[in-house]
This record gives sequence, C-alpha cells and structure tokens, in this order.
Amino acid sequence: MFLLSAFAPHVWTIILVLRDFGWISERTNAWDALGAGAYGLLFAFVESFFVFVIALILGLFVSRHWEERTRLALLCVLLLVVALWEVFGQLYFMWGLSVPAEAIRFLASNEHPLRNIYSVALIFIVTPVLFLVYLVLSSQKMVQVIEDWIDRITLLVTMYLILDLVALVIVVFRNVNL
Amino acid sequence: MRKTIDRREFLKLAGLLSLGYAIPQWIARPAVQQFSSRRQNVLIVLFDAFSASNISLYGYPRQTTPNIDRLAERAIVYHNHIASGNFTTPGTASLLTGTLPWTHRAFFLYDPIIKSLKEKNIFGVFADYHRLAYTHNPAADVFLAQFLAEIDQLTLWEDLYLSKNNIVNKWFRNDFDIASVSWERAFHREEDGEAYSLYLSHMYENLKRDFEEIRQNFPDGLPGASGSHFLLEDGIDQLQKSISAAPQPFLGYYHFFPPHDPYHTRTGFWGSFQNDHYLPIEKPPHIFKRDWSAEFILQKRAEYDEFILYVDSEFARLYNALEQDGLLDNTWLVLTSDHGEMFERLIDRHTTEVLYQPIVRIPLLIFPPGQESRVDVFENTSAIDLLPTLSHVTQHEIPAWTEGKVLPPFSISLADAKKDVFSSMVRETDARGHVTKATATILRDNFKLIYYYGYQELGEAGELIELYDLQADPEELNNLYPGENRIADELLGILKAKGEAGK
Repeated sequence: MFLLSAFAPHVWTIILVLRDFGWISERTNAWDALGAGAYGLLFAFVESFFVFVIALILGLFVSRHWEERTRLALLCVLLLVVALWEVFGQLYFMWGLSVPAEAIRFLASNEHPLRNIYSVALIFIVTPVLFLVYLVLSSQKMVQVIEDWIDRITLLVTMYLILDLVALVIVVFRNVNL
Repeated sequence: MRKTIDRREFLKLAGLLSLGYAIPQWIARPAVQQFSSRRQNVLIVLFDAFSASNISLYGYPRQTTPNIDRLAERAIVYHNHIASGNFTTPGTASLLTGTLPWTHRAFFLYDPIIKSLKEKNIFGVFADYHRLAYTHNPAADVFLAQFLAEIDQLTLWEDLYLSKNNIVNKWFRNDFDIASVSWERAFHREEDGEAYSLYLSHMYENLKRDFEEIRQNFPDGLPGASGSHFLLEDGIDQLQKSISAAPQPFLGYYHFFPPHDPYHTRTGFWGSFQNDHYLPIEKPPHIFKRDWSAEFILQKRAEYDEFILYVDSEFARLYNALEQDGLLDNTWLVLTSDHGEMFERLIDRHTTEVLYQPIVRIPLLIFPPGQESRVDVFENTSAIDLLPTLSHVTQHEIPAWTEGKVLPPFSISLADAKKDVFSSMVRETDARGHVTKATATILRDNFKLIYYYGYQELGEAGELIELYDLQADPEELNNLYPGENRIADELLGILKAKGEAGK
C-alpha cells in the first residue's frame, strides 16, 4: 500500500525536477540543480507517507464483506483517480488552459455560481470514482487488471525509493560539507 | 589650527587642474555643494532590478516615480548610469567592490567574489565608520556574509521577512538557498499553479494564510523573494531605526528586493496602469526571445510599473523621515540599483542573454548633504564608480584596486570624466574558469557595442555583434554593424582584451 501511495507523488516530482534542472543549473550549476531535485524527492517521500496514512484510515471504512484483493483494488482506484485529478489541476495552469467562455457563462447564469462550480467539480470527480468502483466490484477481470498494474508499479516505485536514498545521501552531503 | 596639505592631497589638487579641459561640458551645471567631510555619513539605498528605462524621472511616459521626480530637484541625477551585470550577483559584486565581473569573478547566481578580493570592498574602505548592512536578496547576502569582518551591524536577510521558513532554516541551514528553492517548488503553488507536491501543497497554502489582513493590501499576493514574504515598509522602518541609533559617521548599505519580480504591488498602486492604453515603441523579436506573447509582456510591464510606484512611495517616506531627523544635513544619500529589467523584443525581466539599455541602465541619484539644487550628469557612468566616488567625497583614500573612477561632477581628472563603461553577462565558463559563453557590452560616448559569443543559437561562428549610436538611436533599433567599422573594431578589441585579461 505504501508503494502505491508513493507512486503518483514521485512520478510528478521527478517530471517537474527534470523540467527545473535546466533553469536551476543555468542560474547556479548542475550540482545545485541536483541538490534541488534531491530535496524534491525527499519531500515526495514525506508526502507519500502522509498519503499512505490517509489511505490506511480510508481502508478501515471499506467493508470486510469484500475479499482483500478487491479492497486493495478499490483503494488503488481511489488513489489513482485523486492523483490524476491533482495532476490535471496542475496541468491546467502549466498548459495555460482555460474553461470555455460558454461554460463560464452557463455556470454564472444563476444566483449561485460557486454552488454550480462545486457541483460540477463534484460530478467530474465522483463519476469516474463510482464508475471504476462499479467495474472493480462487478468484474474479476478488472480486479486482475489492477493487480497486474500494481505488480508493475511497485517494482517501479522500489526504484524510486532507491532514488530517495541517493537523494538523502546528496542532501546530507550538501549540509555536512558546505 | 592651520591645516597642512600632504603629498597626496597636493596631487589631488593638481589633478583638479585638468578639470579645466572639461569646463565647457560642465559649465551649464548648477554647482554642487562643495563642502565635504570625513565625518559625513553615507547611506546607499538600492532597489533591486530597478530599470532607468521605466522611471519617469528619466523620461518614461508613465508617471512611475512622482516622488523621486520631485526629490531629484535636490540631487545629482545620472542619466546614463550602467550596471556591470544583468542580475544581482555580478551587479552587486561590482558595486560593492568597485571592480568589473572579469575581476571579481562572481558570474553565476550565489557565486561569491574571488578570495583575493574578499577584503577589498566598500566596507573595508570605510573602516573608520560604523558600517551597517541589510539585503532582502539572498544572492546579495552571499557578499555581506563574505564581508562580515568589515561590517559592524548586519541584519540577516530573513529577519525582515514576515514568515521565516523554519523547517528549511532549522534542518538545512547549511544549504539554505537551494533547500529554499526546492521547498518552494515543492509546496508553493500560488504563483504558477504547479508544485512538486500533489497534495501537501494545498495544506501548505492554507497554512500560509496567516497574513490575511496584510494580504488584503496586496491584491496579487504579498511581495516576496525565495517564496517567503516581506513588506518593503518593514525594511524602510528597520533602516530608519538602525541608522538613527547608529554611532556616526556611518556607512549604510540597504538592498531592498522590490521592484524585482514577482511584481506584487500595494492597493493604491495596483491597477494604476492597466487601462492607460500605453504602448511602448514596437521592437522586433530578438534571437534570444522568450516563448511569451506580446500581450503577456505588456501586462508584465504594467505590473512592474505599478510595483515601481510602491518603491517610489517608500523611498519618499524614507527621505522625509531622514529629513525630519536632520540626517540629510550630514549624509550622502545614494539611490541606485544592481541591474535593470526589460519588457521588449519578446523578452521579459532580466535573466536573458541580451544587454540592451533597459537591462543595464539603472538609476543613480546622489543627494549630497545640504544640496538644494539639481545637477544632471549625462556622461556614461558605471556602477563600479560609486565606491571611488564615495571614498573621494568623504575624504577616504581611493583604493588602488578599484577599477572605477570618481564620478562627475566630483571627477579629479578629465580621464575620469571620459571613459569606457562595461557590462557583461557570463553564461558558461570552462574547467579552468575561462569564459566560453557570454555577452558583453562597452559604451564609449554615444556608441554602444554588444558582443555575444559562444552561443550555439548564433550558428557556426557562435557570435553576434551589434553597434548602436545611442544619441541618434536611444531605442537600439538600428544596428550599425558591420558599418562604422573603425569604432566597432576598436570597441570590440577592447572588449576582447577585457575578457582575455579576466582569464
């Protein structure tokens, strides 16, 4: 479960660290850019731990009526959807996207535009969660697909944890030797 | 008691004789108060990234500095003052050491100056003064830390920040700068909506809403640097408090971050230029243009100009307070910057390969004690000239190691008044420290040559030369090179020699 929790924070951090490497090394040097990335990975590790704790707490609310592999698949789906929405939320700014003017006009067309926005956001988040939960609960094949996927990413995340270890060494080295 | 003249003072006076040659140039200038004393204070107030091109005092169409325009009536106003670099590190190092980047070697962000120059700085020159210093900018703090032995009263840069980054400060103190950068990239998503952290960044933003009351005065967010926030008002108050309590004579160096980006101005100034329909002269996109639209650059320019209004207002508040305290009667007050900022040719801010006037031309106003009239100086002057000038007017020995000259109207020889001025931006050095990719510029009279070298973007030769006649073409639109070969070759030869000597 921890490896699952660590997946999204690490992938996103690594993407942005690689993106930042150029401008940081341009302004200082490659060692500083590496240092900034190392701190980023350590922060991602801490975040993974927080996500793990929350996922554990959520796990307590999942009915024991379902078998263990189904419960794990459900939590995995939940983590994945939330992570994808968070990533999309950031890409929205990074790519300079904007909601079409017609949609904004529609949302603002009555007396409670904020209520409309929250309702629409909720529909967008809840719908895929419910859809995927339905698939997990109704299809063993879906559970199997998720299990296969978990097998693959846990291997990948193990490599990320090795990177975290390297990052820790870099951070310690920078703070001891400077 | 009768004052005797020593050999050095005699030579200084002899040097003054050569001023006779320059009299025709200066004859129209109102006189500067001629008294000077070794006991007079010096206060340098530096606003970071403050471009002369965006200051109404220097002819900018937007009224960005109404207070400074008014106060300038009691100052020496330098119209062609040039920073030695295009960002804090080289610009500040040059100002504090009176040497060019090729000499002090602080090329890259957070670089210190070379060890051999460590004790050769403005604080060392004023060894008999009480020396105070503060900077908002961590990149400039590197130098103050280097000069610690020569500074009597240093305020730490984060001491005037609203919230100190306690986690980074406590755990990564030895690597604070880079840890801060990463912390901000990890958790701070207010500026660009992105952060390494997917979830904790939301919590962090909520925790940072402690300053809601103050924040209401800053519609775009609180002013800040390295992700932490400050109020310029606090900096000005601290300055005033420190120097009021300081033993005299004192030398104060206060380096404030505004109007450096992010351009978060106060209510009252916010929105001042949003709908004024001002359109700067259109300039063609440069080869080193950014991936921005012209509209975006215009918007950033307006935000920058509104931030300057805030700076202008706070400088006026400081000036009035100094006047009320009577300090201006006995203090050389200097207003300047470390580098400029630009919003043209599809380039914004200052981290760029180009060295056009908006990037290198900075304000310099010197308010001599008791000065009641304005003096305008139009000669090209350099940031490295401030150290020898302040040494000269306070009767300190001008250090032999400075590459600067005494500024007009205090110049002690014609050679001082008429000289070449340099600025540079180094992108890469090789393993031996030789500069391999850089842009450098030299100004002589009305000519300005810009030399770019080592850039892949410039094709096989990797170099580009631009020559402008700033008198006929102040906007640098008409590149005279390869025409005007004689002056171009001469200036290029000098620039290359500087680069070689700097190796």
